[in-house]
Amino acid sequence: MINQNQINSKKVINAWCSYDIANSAYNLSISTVLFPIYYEQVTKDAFGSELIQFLGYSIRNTVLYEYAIATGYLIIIFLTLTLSGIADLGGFRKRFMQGFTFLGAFSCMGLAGFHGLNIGLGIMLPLIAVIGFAGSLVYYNSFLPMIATPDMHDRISAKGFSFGYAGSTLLLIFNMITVSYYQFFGFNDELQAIRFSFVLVGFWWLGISQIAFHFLKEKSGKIDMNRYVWLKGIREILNVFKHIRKNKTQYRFLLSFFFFSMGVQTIIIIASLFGSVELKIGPTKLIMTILIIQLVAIFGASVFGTVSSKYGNKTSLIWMLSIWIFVCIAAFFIINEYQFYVLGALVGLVMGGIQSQARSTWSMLIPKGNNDTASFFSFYDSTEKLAITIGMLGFGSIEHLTGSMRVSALLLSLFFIISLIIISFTNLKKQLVE
Amino acid sequence: MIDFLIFIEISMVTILGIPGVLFILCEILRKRFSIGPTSE
Repeated sequence: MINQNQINSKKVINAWCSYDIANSAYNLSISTVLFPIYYEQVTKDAFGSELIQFLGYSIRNTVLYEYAIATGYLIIIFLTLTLSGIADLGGFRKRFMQGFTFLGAFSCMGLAGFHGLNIGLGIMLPLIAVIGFAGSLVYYNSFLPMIATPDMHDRISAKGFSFGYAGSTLLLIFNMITVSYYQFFGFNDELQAIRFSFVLVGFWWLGISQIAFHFLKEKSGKIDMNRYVWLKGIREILNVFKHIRKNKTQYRFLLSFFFFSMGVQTIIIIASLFGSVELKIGPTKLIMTILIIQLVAIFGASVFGTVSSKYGNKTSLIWMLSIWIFVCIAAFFIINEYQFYVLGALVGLVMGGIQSQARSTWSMLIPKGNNDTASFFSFYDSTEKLAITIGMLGFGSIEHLTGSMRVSALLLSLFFIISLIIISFTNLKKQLVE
Repeated sequence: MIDFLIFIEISMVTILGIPGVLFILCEILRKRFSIGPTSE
């Protein structure tokens, strides 16, 4: 049941956007930067080498982490598919959003209790936190049609994204300061400062989300309970897939997107771990690199936005894919931290660009003027999540076999090459003109 | 129409099965061809 008073209300919209500040902090500070670095350090210290004991197997610490992340994304795929249908039931959204937020935030705080030897906890807590993160996002998104009219959706989504981007970057800067000047803050070492950051991010997530929980009102109304309501998301995906199969341009573009997402998303998740393991770069410098990537990404998105408007989306995507291929091949050869920074800057240049270009290209390719736009975008998001799963499994298994992340980086270049070939044979112009 | 419990079972098998099978396959290959890091 929609509360009419909150439609297009500035206060409610800002409160909704503030949730992005709350949970983006987890994604950037913990998932991308701090936890991978911390995990690698503490497991190595606890087991005396990079090989750890897990369920009777002797396995490289980073490989186990990569398998765990892939498993986490598989859980997210199934969870999102089922929850999206349930999210449409009136009266449940806020409760579920709160539940997933608590689950995620407390798991995030719990990471502080992971000290290396309790590897089960170190693997399970990030998985539970990621379930909290993804689950709460489903309900966060389902609130959008309740708080704004459709003409406002794009603008509000972009506002939420920029809120999240700014907030998470600010908290990461603060975390970098605590880790760099750990003595000033009264910590014994960098790892203790990172443990503090886990708790801080958990509180940040929990605390800031209260603004959204306070202003987002939902009257519990008559619930249209259907035995098969949870199948809605899966039905939507299947319908969109049937449609895409018939349209050559959409199909090829999505296939190309799938392959480059395997590379892009895996690199985002693995970048700090790569620097730590292969180049022995310390936590402070790694956080700094991720911050540089974040900042360069804004510049990169605008540069490739200009390239796209001048030469077209396809040309822009081809340029970016070529840079990604170069980055992956160069990662195999780099030997010092300065080369890593250069690669980091290059990644930043194409990271924001390729994601925003892909999204805008997809929005131009999907049929206009019908109500299926959301379904096409949820299909697009599911494709991306599946790509992350396969990308991480591919990266992890190659590292498992060879004992080197550098060889895995070469595998990622293969994904980008396949994506480049597919996009070269895709006539985007024809579809865009139609 | 698919039953919710069957769906949960399929999800669980996929979630644990795919990474699990890949992990064991890599372990077998690694030991068979003596490649990658070893604790020995």
